Amino acid sequence: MTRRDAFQRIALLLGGIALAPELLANALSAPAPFCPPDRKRLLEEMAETIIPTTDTPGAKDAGVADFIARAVEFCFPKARQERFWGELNSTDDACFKKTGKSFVDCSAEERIAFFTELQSRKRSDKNEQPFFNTLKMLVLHGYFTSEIGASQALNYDPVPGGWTADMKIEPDTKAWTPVF
Amino acid sequence: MYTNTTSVKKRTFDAIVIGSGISGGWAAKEFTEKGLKTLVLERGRKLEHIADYHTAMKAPWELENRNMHTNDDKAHYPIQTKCYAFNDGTRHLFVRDSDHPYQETKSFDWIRGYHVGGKSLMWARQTYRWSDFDFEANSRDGHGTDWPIRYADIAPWYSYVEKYAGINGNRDGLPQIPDGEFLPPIELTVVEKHFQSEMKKFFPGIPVVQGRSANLTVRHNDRGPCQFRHLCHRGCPFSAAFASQATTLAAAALTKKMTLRTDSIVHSIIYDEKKGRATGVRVIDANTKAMTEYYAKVIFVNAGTINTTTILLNSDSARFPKGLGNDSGVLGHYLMDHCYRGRAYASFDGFQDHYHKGRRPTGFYIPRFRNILGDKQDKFVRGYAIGGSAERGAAWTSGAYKEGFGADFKAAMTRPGNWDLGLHMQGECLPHFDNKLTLDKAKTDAWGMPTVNFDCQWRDNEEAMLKDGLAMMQEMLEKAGFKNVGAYDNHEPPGRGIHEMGTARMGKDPKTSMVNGNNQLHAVANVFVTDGACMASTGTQNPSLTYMALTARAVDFAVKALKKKEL
Repeated sequence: MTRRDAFQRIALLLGGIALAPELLANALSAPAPFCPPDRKRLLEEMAETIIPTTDTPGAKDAGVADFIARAVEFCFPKARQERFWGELNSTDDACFKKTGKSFVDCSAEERIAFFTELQSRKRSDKNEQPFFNTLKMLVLHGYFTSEIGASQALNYDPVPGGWTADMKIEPDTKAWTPVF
Repeated sequence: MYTNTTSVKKRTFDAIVIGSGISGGWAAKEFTEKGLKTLVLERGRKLEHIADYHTAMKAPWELENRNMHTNDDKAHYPIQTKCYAFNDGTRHLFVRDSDHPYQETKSFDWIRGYHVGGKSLMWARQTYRWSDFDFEANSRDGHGTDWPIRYADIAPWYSYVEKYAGINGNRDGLPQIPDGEFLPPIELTVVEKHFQSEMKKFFPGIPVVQGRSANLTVRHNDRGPCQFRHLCHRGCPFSAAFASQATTLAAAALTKKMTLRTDSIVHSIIYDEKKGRATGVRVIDANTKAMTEYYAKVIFVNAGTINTTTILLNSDSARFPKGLGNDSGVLGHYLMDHCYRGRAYASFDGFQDHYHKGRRPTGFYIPRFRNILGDKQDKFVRGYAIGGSAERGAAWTSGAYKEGFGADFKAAMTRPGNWDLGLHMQGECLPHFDNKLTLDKAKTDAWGMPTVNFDCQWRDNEEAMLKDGLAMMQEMLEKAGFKNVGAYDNHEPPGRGIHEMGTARMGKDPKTSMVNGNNQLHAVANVFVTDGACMASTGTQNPSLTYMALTARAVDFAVKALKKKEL
């Protein structure tokens, strides 16, 4: 029964979201949370740094920041919402400490340098999901389920009309858009 | 007086079918096509084929929460969200748990859909015939009571329902899953074929076959064909996935003999002591909560295992103080579900230049191989089937933990993912008296109906089988050359298999069973149970096809008996 498998796979993908409250239990201690609208630009710039505009539009054009704000509010439990906004702030504080600027005011090179350092940062407890991974999960989900991501960056085939069990592909063949 | 008589006449039918899901739909079709004026009662709301599938054509970005479970989902659908088919596009097909409470002496995940068609909209559509390994199982090892029927009794009815429903599959010639009337099969992926041939090498007694499912691979009976969108659970606008309103209920409506009444919660069945038979049902209007009686010569209870038994238990009378037809005391007992706790996964490094197109509604299937055809286990009786698939997803779905960001990362995320293989066990569950449901009359729902209390757990045989299955799946995948192999027990409670069976079981002896070999209550000849409640054992196969066949067969019996004035 593959149907179950397929959904299992999606459950795994979304599992990050479901599991995260536990994973994040001991995450960075953060100042009291507060949320958009002033954080929206920060989210936008961070998302665009992860999924930039290339031959297809990037995260900013795909409205990923709005998706994240919504997903955090509607899908994260209260404690995790607070932690997310808190960690977003403290991440920007860390950027300020390193560059003397907020992430939104940094140059492309500074952003890359800061994210490179951020992603190499290891947590003391390996069960914790680092903020950068939470952010990436949200950016990826928001981007590739957006109209731009799903229909331009991927190969969207809403009505395949048939099943081809085997086809040859090239190294640059795009994935079919997952449709749940 | 005149008005009263008219009113009673208006509420009198030849047959009443309680429920419009897989088995109720079949009862409706068969009764009406045989000319009987039939009332179909559905506790849920109206749900028109195609017209009411409002999410069917939605793109991922058009779904409100982009398929993420929300805090509201977790608060109001704490059980339903555990179902693999619950998501942004199907939420409206599942009950709000907060509106439909039940009790759990022990955990039981009761997955429900209250609307026309019931779970026939959200089911996984896997369809395998039972064999005599299953019908003879109880008598062979002494667990449960013997089935009064054998494969030969039901085989023509399997053919009958398959020809109508349209089942894709291969004629594999395997005695444990007899061949049926198949539409063309859905080809396996290259990695699945590789697994299949490696299995032949290392486990010659354990065949891997193409999954068989109720999806139309060619146009069939003016329906379909499948467009390979894999959005069956939202309702198929191409009528290619089997759902009651796409098939049986539509056929019943064509006869003009069917009255389909929605929002009609059956409170109980009316038993007339003088006549020694049931005369009708009491129905609560879900909206006004007013009670109305409907009458018929014959009543089919197809409310879905748990609700079927709820109705029977709630139908107490001086003659049947423990529930309708419950002289034996077994009503509510011997609750079973397939055990899906055993899972395995692996990845495959080869075939990187191969992919697939379209989204299949099925995969591969390993039919039962334990304790049959020469295999003998000393730690457990019966056996398990294994379902699975090997496909490539999209790389981004596992990208959150991959190193990187920026242009190169984005490009990598747009590619097909690795070949991932998943397996799940479908373990047979033994009938056990203490696995049961009871009604809690002190705790009623919004309609004044007593709530169900589940007291059911996996027992030694299921646990021993699970251990064997986990080890076998691990060994199969390792020998077949897969990488990152893992097998685990997901510890899910009974109910999550959504193959709830038993509680009004079939049997030869009225002292130990509820219904006879024609699905007729031993004690009330004009009441029939043909959904999962009648099952005396679970087999390893997905059960819906068997419910369809049992239902068509029982209607045939009932109509012949009515004509001979034996009912």
